[in-house]
Amino acid sequence: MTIKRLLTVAFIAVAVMAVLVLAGCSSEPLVAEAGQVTCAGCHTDREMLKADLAANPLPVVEVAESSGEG
Amino acid sequence: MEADLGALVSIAFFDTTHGKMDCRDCHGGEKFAATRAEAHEGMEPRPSATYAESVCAPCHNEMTSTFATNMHADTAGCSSPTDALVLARSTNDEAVIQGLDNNCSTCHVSGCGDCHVSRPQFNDGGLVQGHVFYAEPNSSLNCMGCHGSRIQKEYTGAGESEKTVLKADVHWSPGGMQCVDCHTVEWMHGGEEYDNRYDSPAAPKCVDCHPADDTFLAIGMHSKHATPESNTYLQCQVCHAQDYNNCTACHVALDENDLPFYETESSEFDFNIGRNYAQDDSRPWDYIVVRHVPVAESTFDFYGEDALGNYDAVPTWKYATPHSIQRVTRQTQDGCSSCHGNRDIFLTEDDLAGLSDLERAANKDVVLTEVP
Repeated sequence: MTIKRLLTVAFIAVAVMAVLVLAGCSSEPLVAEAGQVTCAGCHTDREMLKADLAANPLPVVEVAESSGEG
Repeated sequence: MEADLGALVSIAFFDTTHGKMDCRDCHGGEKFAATRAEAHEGMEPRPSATYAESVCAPCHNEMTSTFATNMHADTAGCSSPTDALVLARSTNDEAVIQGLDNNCSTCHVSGCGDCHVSRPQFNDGGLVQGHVFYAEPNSSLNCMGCHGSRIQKEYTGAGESEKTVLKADVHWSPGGMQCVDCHTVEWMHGGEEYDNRYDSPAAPKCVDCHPADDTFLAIGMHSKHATPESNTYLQCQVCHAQDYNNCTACHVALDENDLPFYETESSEFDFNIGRNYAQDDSRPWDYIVVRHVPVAESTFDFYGEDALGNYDAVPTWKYATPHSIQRVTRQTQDGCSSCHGNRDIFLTEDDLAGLSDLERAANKDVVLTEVP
């Protein structure tokens, strides 16, 4: 394969990826950079979620007590 | 559902169409972050809540664009002159509407996700399949999450009647039919304006599956009572519904912290046949099944005393379509005598005893003066 053909293939691949990203078809990174978290990295790990909720409890939503069937 | 499980995304999700997208495409927030607060900055947990303007719209416009006309989106369809629970009775619309807004409108769905990815927010949410989207809502987790006190109890046979032993609706067991088998996507996603939920052409009807063909008419009772030519034309449920839930005297108010609450006086499984007070082409029957709705003259007193001054404008025993169907019920088990002369299964003066003059007047077109 010639260098010219390789460059053409690479150019097309980059163009396709750019179109996909611009069209909102980017995918969620499963691995975070060092010292950081990603959405998927936390939300796919129950133990991490439990620890996170223990450290940052959800706000208590106040609801009045009703009685009988609604 | 525990909070952590409710927020847990399955690995399988990432193999789905939605899972190929970046979380932020729908939810916003920060892609990489060092802390939880930083990651959730600007995040929208329920991005489908605005339907036609939501993140779902660009790909699902044919559904999101019409959803506002569906009664899951607001109370339209439950407020017509013949079926209004309260507005037709109102002499103080400002007070009644305030009460409706505070106490009654809160159970309607809060986005596409309430049916297609999580339990309804009314039930505190919680992802059903680890964020995997599903086209058909789950009967138990989605539909019955809100429709519990009447539909779930009736359909699954969980109710109790002092007068008979109740079974599950035959369509649920052994039929195995899910809610969406009758309540189709055409109805659920709206698209038509109608005053009354029963007026939608897409609303389910028994005859959709049980047409009045030769097999149907070969049953003697059907030819006597189940065709427009019958001397006495009965709604299917008059013979085939088991007892169903009836509620009385719901009162709505705000507590000392301005939080809405309700108190329902009682609820009871019972069965009553009434006269068809709103006979028309869509409800041609002479007799119908009627359910007591939880309204009372003083329901909205917290918001305005005597706000329901026209309490007698519509019946408190309303046309009903119970989800408690069986072939053999206490109306059919002994043939003709099951109904004829059986005062207990008809709405009579006995049922109105002790009620106010206004409530008696409200039901004058429903109650039977003589039992057939």
